[in-house]
Amino acid sequence: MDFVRNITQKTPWKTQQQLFGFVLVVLVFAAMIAGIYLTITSRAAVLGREIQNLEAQITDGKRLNADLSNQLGVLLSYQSMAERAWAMGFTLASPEDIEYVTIPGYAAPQPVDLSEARPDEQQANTLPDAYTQSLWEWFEAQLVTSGLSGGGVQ
Amino acid sequence: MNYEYSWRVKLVIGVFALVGLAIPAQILRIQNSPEAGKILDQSNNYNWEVRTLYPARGSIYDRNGRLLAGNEIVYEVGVDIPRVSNPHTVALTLSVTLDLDYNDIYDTLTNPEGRLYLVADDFVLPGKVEELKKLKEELENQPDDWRAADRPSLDGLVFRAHFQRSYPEKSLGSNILGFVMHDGHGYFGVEAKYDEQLAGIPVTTLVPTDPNRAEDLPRIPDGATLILTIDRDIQAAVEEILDLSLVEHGAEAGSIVVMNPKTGEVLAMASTPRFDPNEYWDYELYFNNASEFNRAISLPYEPGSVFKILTMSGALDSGTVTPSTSFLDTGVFLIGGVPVYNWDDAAWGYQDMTGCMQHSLNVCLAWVASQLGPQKFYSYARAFGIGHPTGIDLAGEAAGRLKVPGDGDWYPVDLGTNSFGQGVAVTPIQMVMAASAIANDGRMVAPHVLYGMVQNGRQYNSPPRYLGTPISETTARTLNEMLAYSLENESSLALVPGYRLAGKTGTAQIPLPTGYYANSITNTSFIGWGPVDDPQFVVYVWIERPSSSIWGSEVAAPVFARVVEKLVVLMGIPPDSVRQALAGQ
Repeated sequence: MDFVRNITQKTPWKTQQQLFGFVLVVLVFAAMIAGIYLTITSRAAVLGREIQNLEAQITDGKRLNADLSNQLGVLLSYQSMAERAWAMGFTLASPEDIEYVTIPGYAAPQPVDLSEARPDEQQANTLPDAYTQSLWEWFEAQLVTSGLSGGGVQ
Repeated sequence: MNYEYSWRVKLVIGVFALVGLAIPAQILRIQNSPEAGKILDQSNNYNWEVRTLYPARGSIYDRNGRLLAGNEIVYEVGVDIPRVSNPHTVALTLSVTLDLDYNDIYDTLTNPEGRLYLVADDFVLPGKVEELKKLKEELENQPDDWRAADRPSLDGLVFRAHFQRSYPEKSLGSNILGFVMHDGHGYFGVEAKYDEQLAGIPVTTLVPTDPNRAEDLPRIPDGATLILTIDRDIQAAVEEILDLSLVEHGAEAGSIVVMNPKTGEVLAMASTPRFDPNEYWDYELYFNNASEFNRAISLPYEPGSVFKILTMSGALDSGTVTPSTSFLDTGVFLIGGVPVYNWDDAAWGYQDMTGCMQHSLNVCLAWVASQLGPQKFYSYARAFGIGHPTGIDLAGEAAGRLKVPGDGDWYPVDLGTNSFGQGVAVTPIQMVMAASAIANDGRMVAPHVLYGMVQNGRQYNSPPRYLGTPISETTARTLNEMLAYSLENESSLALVPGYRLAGKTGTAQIPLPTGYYANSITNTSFIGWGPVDDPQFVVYVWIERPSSSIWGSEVAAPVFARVVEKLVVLMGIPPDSVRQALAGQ
């Protein structure tokens, strides 16, 4: 302890140096925290904007799908199909033109069934929590997941 | 360092230190000042925007999955006024491309009076918008010339995509579908009846504009998808037959309904006039009033002799007559003090009940009704659903009119005239529903056009709905046989080779505004079903005011035959001999 006291009391230039060093360390640490905070915030902002763009793309995609289905409907409409069939030389069948044959196991066609699991049924939130958490919330969550936090529900 | 300079150095350090401390102090002071809260509140207002998310309107398909009504992209063309750099270019471009008024746009852009956004036009087709986008891009890529104050520019022009209803089949089935106007609401037909289900539920939500708060938009389920019982190919065939028949017979209008008598599924429902619902604004060019939109459900009329099948059903079912009951037709029958005559004013002598139906004798049926008595007659008529809407799931159904004893305008003679379908107003769909009881062993089914509804990826199908048994199974089979025999025996134009059919013609005089009936103009009808031993379809034909002939047997009956010829092909119904041979294997 005497050695330390000697250094601090008997060598004023060392004291100043230590003080300067301490302030420098604090400044560097603060700058580091601020830098990390800014980086994370800017990344979050960029990702947030990406999410908004993706939402807009999803909406555009759905709209385009519906529009394309409609265009397909136009192409497959009765009038369109009939014109193509006539152009290809087909004619309408009359009852006399038809020959009925027995096909074992044949089942008459049933009305359409449009039930299906559509992707938009998946209601799970696809946005990770990290994108909406503050730095502190994220840090707390990391502590909880790593088991270092004292609290929490078992 | 010299002493004389050290105080100056300290002063400079002190000043910098003070300034350095003052900045965070000021930050802290501002953050904790009373105004800080207000400023934060104001900024929060810009962090969120209230947005109403509209689900896409559900599509409509026929029973085989062919699209009848969908959605297509159109655009709202607007002007973000503060971003406009050349109002003249914008106004001129919009006036030329979208046929808008130049002065209106130019005046609004140069004198916005606080407006920030102008909706120049809406529901603009993609082709026009592509044209505008291309022009805008070309102007943006022009070499910069900052000295030119009036440099052409379409800055501020914005395009917002949204849906509008589209009907790929155009006029096909339009009287069933109805249409959706630009206000997003359905009118007539399925579009009106299932408007809420098709439209879905809009959700108003707060959407963050701050990217740091970006989150998933709430999932808005699209409107329900509907699958109709209609078969597009049958509908097209029936519409074509109806249109040709109207031309061939010089008729004013008409309607044909095809229904499965076992399930109540309407397979086709044609009505004239029809229009392209994509151009719904032409509605008034086609229709004088709403009841003309779909004659099959909205326009009651006096059906004439097709109604005799209900009179005879009641009489057979109550035991008043049997098929072999004999009647001496003298050519006239007095009921309620008023004489009733046959369609040809002739006397047909002794006839059994099958003969009465085969020759469509008014005198005989009036006698049958008188034997049945008014109470039983109207009781059966009600049981068949006459005078009440069928409840078909289409908007705008009419109830028709059945006068009954006790009504102020009912007279005893009405019993006689009602027995052969005069003085009673029905819609074609009412007659089809009533006939389903005869074709379906006495069980009457409710007609419907909705086969299934798809919501959240799951399809819910509509089961058949039975509306009681107005007549017994025995009566139904007896009448079936009588009507089939009648057609065969008179070599009716309704017959189709290879298929045994049951049916009845109808020719009805049309009441004039004076209260009298016109002699030379009629409504001709035919109702029939088949194959008799296993009915797959009921067909109702109504041809209004034909000029080629006034008789249902000459106008409506052949139309029925043409429809059946198409049906047996499209529904895959083999001739009776083939079917019975296969069943026997």
